[in-house]
Formats: sequence, C-alpha cells, structure tokens
Amino acid sequence: MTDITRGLMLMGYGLIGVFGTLILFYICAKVFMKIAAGKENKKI
Amino acid sequence: MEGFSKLLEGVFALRWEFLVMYAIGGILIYLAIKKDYEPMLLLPIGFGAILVNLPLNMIWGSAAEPGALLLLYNSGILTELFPLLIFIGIGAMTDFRPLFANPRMLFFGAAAQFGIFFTVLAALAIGAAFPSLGFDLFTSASIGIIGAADGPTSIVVASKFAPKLLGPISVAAYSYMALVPIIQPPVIRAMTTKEERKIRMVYAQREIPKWIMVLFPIVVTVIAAIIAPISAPLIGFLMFGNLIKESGVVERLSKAAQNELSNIVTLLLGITIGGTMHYEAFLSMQTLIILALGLVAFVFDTAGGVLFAKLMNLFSKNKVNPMIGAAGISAFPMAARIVQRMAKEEDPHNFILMQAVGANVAGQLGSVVAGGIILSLVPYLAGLV
Repeated sequence: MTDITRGLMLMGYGLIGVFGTLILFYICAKVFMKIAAGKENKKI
Repeated sequence: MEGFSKLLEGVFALRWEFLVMYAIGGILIYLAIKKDYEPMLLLPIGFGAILVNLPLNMIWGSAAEPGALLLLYNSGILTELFPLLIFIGIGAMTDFRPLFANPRMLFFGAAAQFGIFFTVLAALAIGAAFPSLGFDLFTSASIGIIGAADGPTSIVVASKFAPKLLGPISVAAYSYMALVPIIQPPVIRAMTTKEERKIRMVYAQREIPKWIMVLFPIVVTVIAAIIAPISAPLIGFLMFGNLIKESGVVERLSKAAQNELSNIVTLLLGITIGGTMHYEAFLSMQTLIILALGLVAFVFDTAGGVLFAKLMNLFSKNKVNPMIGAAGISAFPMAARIVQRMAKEEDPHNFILMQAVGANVAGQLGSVVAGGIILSLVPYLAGLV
C-alpha cells in the first residue's frame, strides 16, 4: 500500500469521524433544546 | 593566551546561519509588535528563536546537560502539558450558546476541517515526488494539522508525530491564524456570488437553561472520548475549562483559567516553541514547503466550509449564507468577524455575526476532534501493509 493510499484512507475515515462526532453533538444539542422547550411549556 | 581565546569563544562559534535566524526571529517580533499578528505567541516565539541560536547554545543545552529551554520542552511540550493547560483556558473563554441557538452551525465546524486532510494528501504527494524531504504519513499529518487553525492541537499532533518540525509547524499555524483576515476574503469571494453573499439569516435569540450549559461539556467529552479515546486529554481539558465557567460556582477558578493560567502557559509555550527553531532544524527546504502547505490548508478549510454551506442550501428551506461556512475554522473570533464584515459590505443591514460565531465555536470543537482522530488513525494506517 502506498502512502498516497493511506492518505486517501485518512481523508475518508477522518472526515467521516469528524462529521460523525459533530453530528452526535448536534443530536445532543437538539435533544437538550427539545427537553428545555418541553419544560418551558409545562411551566406555562 | 588560552584565557584570551576562552573569552572569545562565543565570537569563534558564530555562524552565518545564526544571523539568518536572528533575522527570522526579528521578523516574528516585528509582526507581533508592529502588525499585532498573534503577539502573545509570535513575540515569545521570535525571541526564543534568537535565544536558541546564540553561540554555544547554552539555553537549550544537550541531553546530558539540558538548559532551561530543553527542560521546558521536555516537561511541557513532549508531555503535552502546555497545550493541554492552554485548552483549559480556551474552554473557560468559550461560550457555546450561539451553537444552541442554531445547532446546524455544528456541521460547518466539521466541513471546515477539509483543509487538514487535503493538505495531508498534498504533503504525501510532494513526499512521493521528492523522497529526500521525508514527508511520510506521520510528517504529512503533522503538516496537515496546521489546517486545524488551532495552535495547541497542532503542537500536540506535531510533538507526537514530527517533533523535529515542531518549530516551523507552530510558526505556520500561528502566523496563518493571524493572517486569516487576509487569506479568507479572496477565497470566499471566489467561491460565492454577490447574491449568495447577500443572503440574510434569521437569528432566534433563545434563553439557554443552565443545566444544558453544564451538561454539554460533559456529554461532548464522553462522546469524543468514545469515538477517539486518544482525544480524551484534548477535548477533556477544553471541556473542563468550559465546565468551570458554566458551573457559575467557581468564579475564581474560571477567571484564573482565563487569565493567569492561560497567560503563564502561553508565555512558556511561546518561548519553548521558539527554542525548537535551531537553524539546523529550521533552515531547510522542509520549512519553506511547510509554510506553503500551511497556506494551502487554510485556503481549503475555507473552501470546504463554503462549499458545504452551498450543498446544504440545495436541500434546505432555510437558506444559509455560504460565507458562514468559512467561519467553521477554529480561528476565533477572527473568522466570524470577517464573515460579518463581508456580509455588511454587500448589504449594510445584513447581520449574520451570531450565526458566524456559532460556526466558529463549532470549528473549535471540530479542530480538536480532527486532531484526536488523526492521532488515533495515523499510527493504525501507517501499520497497514
């Protein structure tokens, strides 16, 4: 395997990893905001 | 007579390369003082570069008799302690609220890391064409991480994978962060139309409950450490700083992290990084190529963010101003300010600063995550046959 192939694999896995992790953060943020909105509605 | 030559041994040890390094150190100090380019780091780095190129190099010393700078390097850089301590300060200064107001901005924090991976490939291609440069996967990854636009992450990765190139990589990372206002606008203009730059975005000001702000750093740390366990120190220290700020109960610790801790470690980190700029390591073709590739990394980060925003617009009802994508790099808050300035140039009533700040904060998360992923993937990929 050449270094260029390894670099391409790093790009593929790396971008999947970064996007995947930040998508999980996004889901967390969304869920947190949903819960917060639900709590707010209950108060009203 | 011997006593006389002892008196002049510093003069006899002078080399022309020292003078070149004094000039380079002087340029960094000039940029820091006159141009205000990252003065907190470029000033100590510039002076460190001069210190380590003094005759007989007493300040760095040798492995047998380490001088002050080598001691700092061994204890603060090789152990990753300095960059990690700086992360506590950065975390304590970061406000994730703009992200919660518009969580979509998180995607730009990922897209704008594209330059890192593109630059790794570019470095590998150059390494394949010129094997004498020694740009293997480890070195190329250390060069690519300049695109994280995040000094401490670059230092952590470079100190692990290419410690000999720590000087040029750090100088490139901090210099280009300072030059973001010059690098980004032409790239953004080249990739967007006037109409796209005029797109307005609605910002919904929301009250974020305290429990979210406290829980978020903890959850982020756990998620990141599960995906890339090696990134736990990076993200953990960043989020620890953020937690002490958001908890609201340790005001003194939060202020200490933001001020005293950050300042002291920045000072030691800067001069120690400067100390790695000995002429033997710095005056080389590698340094020139690293500086060029650093620029490539920032350009492709910007392009990656802008293109991703345009891609999102194809599928989204609520259009995003594509310039926001460029704010997904970690250089905070310059990238966000540039985007707002450019939006205002096109339409004086367009206000997208808060969205840009959200993307910029996401970039801080994205760069640390990218650093952690590179740290875990590169040794694995290098071992593949």
